[in-house]
Amino acid sequence: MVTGHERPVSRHTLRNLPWVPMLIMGAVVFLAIFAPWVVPHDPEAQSLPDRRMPPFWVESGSFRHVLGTDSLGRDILSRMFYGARITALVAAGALMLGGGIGLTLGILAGYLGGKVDALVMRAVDATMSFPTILFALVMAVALGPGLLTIIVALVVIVWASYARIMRADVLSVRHRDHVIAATAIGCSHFRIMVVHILPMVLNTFLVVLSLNAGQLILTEATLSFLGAGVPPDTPTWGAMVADGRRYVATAWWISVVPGIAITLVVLALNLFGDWLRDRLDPRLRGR
Amino acid sequence: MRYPKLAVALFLGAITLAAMSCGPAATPTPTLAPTPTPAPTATPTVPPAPTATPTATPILPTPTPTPTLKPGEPPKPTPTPTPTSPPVPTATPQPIATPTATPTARPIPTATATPTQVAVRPKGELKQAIQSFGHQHFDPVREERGNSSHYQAPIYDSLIGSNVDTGQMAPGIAERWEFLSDGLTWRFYVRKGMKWHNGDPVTANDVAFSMERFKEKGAIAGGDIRQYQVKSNVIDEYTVELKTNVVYTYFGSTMSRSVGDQGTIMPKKYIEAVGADKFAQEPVGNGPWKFKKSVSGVMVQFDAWDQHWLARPNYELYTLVLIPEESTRMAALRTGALGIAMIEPDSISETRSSGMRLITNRGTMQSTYYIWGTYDPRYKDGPLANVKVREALSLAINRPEIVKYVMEGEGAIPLPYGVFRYSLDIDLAKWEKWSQQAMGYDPARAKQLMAEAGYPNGFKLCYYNLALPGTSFQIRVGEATAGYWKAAGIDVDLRAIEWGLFSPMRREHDASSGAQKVLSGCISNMRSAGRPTTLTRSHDALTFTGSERVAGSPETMTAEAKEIDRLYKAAFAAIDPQERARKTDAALEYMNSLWLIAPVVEGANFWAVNPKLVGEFKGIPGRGELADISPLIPRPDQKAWK
Amino acid sequence: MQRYIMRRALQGVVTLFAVTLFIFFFGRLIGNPLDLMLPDDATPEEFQHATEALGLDKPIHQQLYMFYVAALRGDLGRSVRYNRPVTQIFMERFPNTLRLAPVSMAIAFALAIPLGVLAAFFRGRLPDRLATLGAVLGMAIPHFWLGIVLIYLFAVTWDLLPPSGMGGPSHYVLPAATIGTGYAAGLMRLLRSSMLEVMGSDYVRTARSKGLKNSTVLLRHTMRNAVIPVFTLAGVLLAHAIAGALVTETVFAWPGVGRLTYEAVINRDYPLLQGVVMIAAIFVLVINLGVDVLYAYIDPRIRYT
Repeated sequence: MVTGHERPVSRHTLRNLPWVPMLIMGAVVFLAIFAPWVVPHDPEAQSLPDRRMPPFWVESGSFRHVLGTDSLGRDILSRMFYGARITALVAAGALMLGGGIGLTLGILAGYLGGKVDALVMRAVDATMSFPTILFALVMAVALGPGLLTIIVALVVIVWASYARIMRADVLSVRHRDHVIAATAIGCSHFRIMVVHILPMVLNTFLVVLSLNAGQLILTEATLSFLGAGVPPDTPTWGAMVADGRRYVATAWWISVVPGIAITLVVLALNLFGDWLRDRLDPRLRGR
Repeated sequence: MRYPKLAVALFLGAITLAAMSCGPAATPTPTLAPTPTPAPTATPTVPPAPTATPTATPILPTPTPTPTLKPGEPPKPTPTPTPTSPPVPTATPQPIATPTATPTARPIPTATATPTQVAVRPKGELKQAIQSFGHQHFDPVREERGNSSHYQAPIYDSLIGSNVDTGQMAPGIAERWEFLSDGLTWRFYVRKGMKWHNGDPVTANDVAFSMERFKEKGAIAGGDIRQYQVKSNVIDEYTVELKTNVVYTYFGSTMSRSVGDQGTIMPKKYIEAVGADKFAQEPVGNGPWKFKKSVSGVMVQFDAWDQHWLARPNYELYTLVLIPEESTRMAALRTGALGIAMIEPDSISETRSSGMRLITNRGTMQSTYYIWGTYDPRYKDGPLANVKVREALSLAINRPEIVKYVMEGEGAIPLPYGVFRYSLDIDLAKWEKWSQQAMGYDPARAKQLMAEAGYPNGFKLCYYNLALPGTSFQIRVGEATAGYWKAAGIDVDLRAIEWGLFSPMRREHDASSGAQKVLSGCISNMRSAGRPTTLTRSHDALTFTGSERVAGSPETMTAEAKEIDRLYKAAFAAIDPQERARKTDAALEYMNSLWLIAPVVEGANFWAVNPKLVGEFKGIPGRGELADISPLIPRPDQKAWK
Repeated sequence: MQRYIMRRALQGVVTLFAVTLFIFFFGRLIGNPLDLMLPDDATPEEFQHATEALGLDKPIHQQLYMFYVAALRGDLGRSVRYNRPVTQIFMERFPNTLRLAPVSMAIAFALAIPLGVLAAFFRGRLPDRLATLGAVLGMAIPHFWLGIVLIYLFAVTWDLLPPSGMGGPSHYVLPAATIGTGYAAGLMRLLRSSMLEVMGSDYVRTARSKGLKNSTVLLRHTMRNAVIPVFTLAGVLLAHAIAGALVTETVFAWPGVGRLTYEAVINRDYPLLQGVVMIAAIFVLVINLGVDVLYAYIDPRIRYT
């Protein structure tokens, strides 16, 4: 029945790898890289007479457009492949930027304390007391639609939570012996932060990163729904779902196909994140 | 669906009430009893539509001479009419055109007391969902047309109404009107016997008072009234003259609901008694519906009013609800929670496949594109400055396909920019013919023109794709347009932008050239609202006095700008309708030849109707909303859908 | 404790200042309300006239100053679009958002608690896997899309529930379920891990070694302690009810503050946007403080200084 929560970590790492999530993520990365060579059609080529054609297994569908076409007659499969590329770019870009800012500020605040800490934490509070999606919406509207806009808007959403988590983590390690020792022998603050503290908090960072990626993909979809996403001709999965919602009753595949892809990827990222958390950072389990 | 008991109760109640309260000749049957007008020729179950009344439906005669125009009259405007306003009403200016039919054709009896006891009692609720409520404010001076028409037009009548069949002008509060020969004065004859919802009579004083309200500082609507410094002169209780400071031959039309909201007439006595704030909260008008309640961001509700001069609602209650998301509106319609839902072309296929019915208000707009700042020194030698390239761009667009697929067959190949099938002062046959040729799809000729211009392999083009509020299908039209241009070998840099960000860019002018700082050298989507006044929109866009100044700026006076200015001025100043029509056509012809602005598709506004809850009716051409037709919308028991 | 609350309140004021400053300037970057109020062919004169009529011609620092001075008196100005006081509009809508929140929370808990307990109890086995999968699924579906699909299934196809709007209790089910499933995922995962942590702790082992029944241990000892962080998260989620409901309120035409805020952005209604954001931020700050203080009372180990 209920056993203790410490499960011995198996030495057979290969067997314990989260194969399914990794396969899904691998497929996405593959498509993102090789999209131009594997797409059957030009993702932007419209053909109005062929609009809203169903996938091949549905009556009146055909193998020419395996997953059907959207409201302008563009091939959904091809857009999915390119969408993988752009979606991955947006999510990765926002995560790297937002995470990077959060990580840096978190370490600075946690290590230096004092005024820096107060300043960063007030900024974090301000961001977090703001309705996040509204924050992103205002940014996105102000900057006009575009990939960069979306990335900036998402960065604005995520940086604060990273800063907060990383700061808490730094606070818990900064009194460890080796940090104190490094201070004692006169290492510079910069050196201590980069060499002694960063590696200690990197695990947490990676775990939060992987758990957060799915969230970003969804937020991107939501922004598209609110009319402040990527330009309508840019295929991201989120924008495709938002665009297809008008046809839920008549052409379900336009939103369902990218919707399933998003769900699978978010699922994979979460499962992978869970696995990573169990491996790297047992302390984070309570979060 | 969810109100079966209520409906039955209302039905029974209505019958009982009818049986009790009607006079000796009352017919308590729910079908239509004879209206006050002599034996209606319409089918028995049709409610008294305004057009079903005697044949002399006052359609506004366009260029044809009106019968009242005296042949021997001095036809042209005398340059100095009457300098000081004469106190005698029958002074020098003579009516040169009476746009309405002869007064004897008036369908409505002036005596109101007994005949308006309607035999058919309104019953049930007409529930209609729209996408945005705008301000949800009931003071007409506070909001321009757009969303406000949905909930203001049911309460208020306009000085000049609109013909629900043609979209042109028709009698409103004024049963007829005249344009006097001084070219400045418009005389309106207010219909006698009309009442405000609180029982006060509607008089010429209300008209004068309303004009003054539009000139107050806090007013947002009523731009023309302010710009032309309209002065009103009450001749008697039922006659009023409005005078512009310069010749503005469209002024009369702007008093019509077909054009805008500036003709909305408000109750002087009531507003003076309760103040503007209370008026905005408890508005009193004289329209076919009485204001009942308004819940911010949720709904607006009206009660049927049986004293209206023209239309008596078939429903007891009229409710407008706000549902921003289209899929939800469609779902609510299908479940029967709504009778009518505003939709975009995206939902037309679902409307058809789910057994709902489609109402198309045709010709409410044109989706167009502008070619900005071709005279800007930075782009003067660019491809867009070449008229052949501009024509090629238009020819490369497959408009029939856009009509068929983006508009689901419910749009139309456009007439020239700003011209609609109901437009005034035009030779419609000529422009229909033009449309067939110039708006056709001819990729070969486009290719040839581009080669002649020196761009056989295309060029790089920046294109701002946007939709104006209320017609989001323009995004798809824009995407499709860009697709055709790409197919023609043009390297299109498609930039999506939202109207709120785009619109100010029209006003950001470069100091030296006067062209748009950002937009110059690019193309963008735009729109022309569907209005019968022909040249107004293109005038604002093309002349150098406006902020869009597509053909030339005050700083850069191009030959085109000068010519356009001359042609427009001539057309606007022509007081004689025939002459105006001729000059309007000339201006259009020149404008078309420049290819600076091209319409892509004539759009429409769409309403999906649940046939179980609402009977068959048609939308008003050129009018996005259903407000004016709302009292005439039948219940399904009155007119079932075929 | 009092000093702690004082300090937090002071920090809150600073935070609030930052938030309003941000929205004041960024709000003005998103365009002009007049472009959405006037017809698309409005003349330059009409623009000028309307700008003056709405008081938007004053210099921006003066507008900011006036905003703060008025805000101190509790006056958040007049909405440009609705021409009514911002506080009045907000108070009309706010109860609707608040009414939806507890129902969403109840649905979230109804899903999260059994699933979380089940998952913790059968850690690493099939029920755990399924529960986790279900929870992540709830998190992985875009809300707006879920809402629309729910409407089509429950209102159009099966005709069980009303499709949109506010009304009787049945109107709450679909929007609350849409919000609730999103919350449930986070709550369930938190409950699971927090239960696992508690289950491994000494006093639970002691309780079990005393020979108490599994169910007693589970309910009496484990659950009670494990739910504390879960309630904290619930508090945070509640604090963000306004933002959390933005999408759902739009889909279901629910007349709450979320949609009002969205409309304020789309219409560039600066005063309304500023006002709503300010009140929403106060709401978040107060609830967060409340949760922390409450936390200290529930868990005697936590003491603030």
